[in-house]
Amino acid sequence: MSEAPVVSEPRRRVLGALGEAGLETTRTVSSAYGVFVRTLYYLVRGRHEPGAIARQMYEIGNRSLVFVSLVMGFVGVILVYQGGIQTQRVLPDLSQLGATFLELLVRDLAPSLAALMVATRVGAGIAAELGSMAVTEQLDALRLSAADPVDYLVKPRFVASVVMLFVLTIVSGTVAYACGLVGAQVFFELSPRSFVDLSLVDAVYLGSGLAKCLAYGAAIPILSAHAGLTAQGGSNAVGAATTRAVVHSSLAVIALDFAISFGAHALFGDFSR
Amino acid sequence: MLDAESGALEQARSASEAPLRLAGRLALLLAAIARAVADGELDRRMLVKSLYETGVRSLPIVVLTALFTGGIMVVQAAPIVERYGAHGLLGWGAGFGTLREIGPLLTALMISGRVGANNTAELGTMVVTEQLDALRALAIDPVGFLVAPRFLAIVTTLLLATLFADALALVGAAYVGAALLGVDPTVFYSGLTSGLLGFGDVAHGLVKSLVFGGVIASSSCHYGLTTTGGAPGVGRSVNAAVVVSAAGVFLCDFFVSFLIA
Amino acid sequence: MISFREVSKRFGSKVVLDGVTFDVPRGEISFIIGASGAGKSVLIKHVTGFVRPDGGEIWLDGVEVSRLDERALASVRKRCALVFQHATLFDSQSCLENVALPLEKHGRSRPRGEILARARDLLTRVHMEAFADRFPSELGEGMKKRVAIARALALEPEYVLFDEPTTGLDPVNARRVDRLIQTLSREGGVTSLVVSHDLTSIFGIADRIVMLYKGRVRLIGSPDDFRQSDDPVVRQFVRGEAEGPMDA
Repeated sequence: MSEAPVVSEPRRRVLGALGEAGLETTRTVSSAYGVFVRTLYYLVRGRHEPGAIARQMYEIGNRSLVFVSLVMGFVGVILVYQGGIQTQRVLPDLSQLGATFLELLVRDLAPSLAALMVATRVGAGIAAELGSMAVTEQLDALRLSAADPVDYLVKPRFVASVVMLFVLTIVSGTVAYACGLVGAQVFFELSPRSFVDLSLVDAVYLGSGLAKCLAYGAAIPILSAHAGLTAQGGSNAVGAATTRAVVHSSLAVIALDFAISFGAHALFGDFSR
Repeated sequence: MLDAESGALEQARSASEAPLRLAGRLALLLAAIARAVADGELDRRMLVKSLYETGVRSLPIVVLTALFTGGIMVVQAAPIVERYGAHGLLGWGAGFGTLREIGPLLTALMISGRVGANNTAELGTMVVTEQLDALRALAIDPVGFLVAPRFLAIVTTLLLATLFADALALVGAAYVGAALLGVDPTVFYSGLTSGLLGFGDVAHGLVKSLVFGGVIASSSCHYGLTTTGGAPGVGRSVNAAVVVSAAGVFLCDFFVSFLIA
Repeated sequence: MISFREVSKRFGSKVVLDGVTFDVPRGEISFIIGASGAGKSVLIKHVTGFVRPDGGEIWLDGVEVSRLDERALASVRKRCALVFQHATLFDSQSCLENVALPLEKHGRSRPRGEILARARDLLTRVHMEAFADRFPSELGEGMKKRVAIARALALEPEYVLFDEPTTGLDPVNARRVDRLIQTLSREGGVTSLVVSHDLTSIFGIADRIVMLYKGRVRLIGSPDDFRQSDDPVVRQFVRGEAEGPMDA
């Protein structure tokens, strides 16, 4: 407990908050980018440890599969329902509902919503683990034994996250689709045959969805690990790190979603069929 | 053989009991908060302070999320609209998704992260450093003084934030629509107000955000108040609070969507 | 008067208190001493209902407190204040606001100016008035302790429980706290019950000492009784010796 006086500032003005948010974002991004680069470096040059990666994959997959699938199941039903109701206001029939639903799922919703759930479940977990280690000086102990926490702790989680996010997206997307199918039958009496229609899904959409999986899978562990590694302070430190992880990861998912969607449209933008 | 089976059955039973027990505890917390408010024990100054802090804290995040959301909605609606040559309907396409679903949902998720997690961390830290006991030692009820103001602040902030985010997302969508598809903002605007979307859609979203607010606030406060185990314990509480909030939000989205059809 | 009657408490399989019985007379400074983990803090937390006993009774001026619920305990807590071991000031409020808080919440709508003035008085009593607008994170342990005492005194309690008030303080601050406790007793007629293993405090200001050993009362008496005791356990503790009959 230090005796040096610290000036507390209990009030901030709104503009100050916005400006500060901007500065904080820049600082976080540049600092997290450093972690990202080092992770890539250790991917090539670091310790070879398939055991640790497998363990992390199990952790991530095990903890999130049920959660994400459950959520996506609900989402599937809701979307088909909402989409159907709205479409009925403008179009005579719902023949395109299944096709459009699949298109949206592949392009955007499956990767993005799954990623948001993973950012919450897994991102918070990574930050809490690494943050606890930071606060109890275990990271310092690691560094003293000439081991880089990024190599030992971040790299396995990074690889695991990229791989598992693909798996989770595919599994939960399938669950969402199946539930949407059931929903269409129940609410609009659409038979599976009219619902199941892959005609609207093309290479660009598939590529866009996969690119998002990759981007999210990379961003979430890096930002969450970064939040955990930079935890400092007293009892509040780990909680604050976990908060940062969830917020940064979620924001990153949304920003990347927009960027990749926009980029895909701008580059391959001809949608007339 | 029998052991393994009964083991799995035990696990399944306790796994399905856990959400029920949690729901029960959250309900008890809500009851305690309601009682404190009814008894006039709600500390007004703490309420104002909490409202101010949660508002300021969420503003940057809500602005960012709303703008991106608007952009995403347009990009996703674009091919559908182009397919039918119905540019006039872009406002409608982006609008209904935003108002009824994506606006309330994403705003809730972001506020759960930014404000809910923070609240859990603060309450958790106070529990762990015995500040909550210190309140009780001064014969001050922690629920009325600390918990109820924070709860109400989160619910109110989410409601206002959703309104704000909806508006901002649609503004953002209008401009992205112009940039990407050459749809004039006025066309976008008339698509919104053409009569295909009504106040009912806005209300649908707002009722959801009220429910989401309740879920996030009660989860956040509950895990904060039941923290044990020092700094790592606070981290675990935040983790749990955020996950339960997210699950609860989607669950309620599901039920509310059908209940207020 | 505070009375303990056959109080027993266990945590899991560990028996912490095993039939503790003694009285704390009004107006005196009583110390509870014993080895770490002997149950001293647990014992005093029973008095204001922060811990419930597994057996036995705790009486405060004719009211049995162990079966009261939270709401009923409020009146007990206004009469009997508790100063925690780690000061536990509210981080988000200044020292003045910390002390003013109980005054506001129980003040029957007295004007704010009057409340703040009274809070300042309390801070002056503990010689911390210069730090009224500082925040707890800016203060050292000893200073925080004194502000915590000021806050505990806000509702003019007749009894004050102190949980290791001088543990972790440097000698100068420790003596300041001792003197505060003494002034409270002499000038305010406050009954103090202090948990401590600071020998200087114990033999400096105690009117009465109760020693706990293995969950029971080993000896009750004046400081002289303790200094002159033949009991080997008491002697080991009083002399601060590493070797002796006390278990590790």
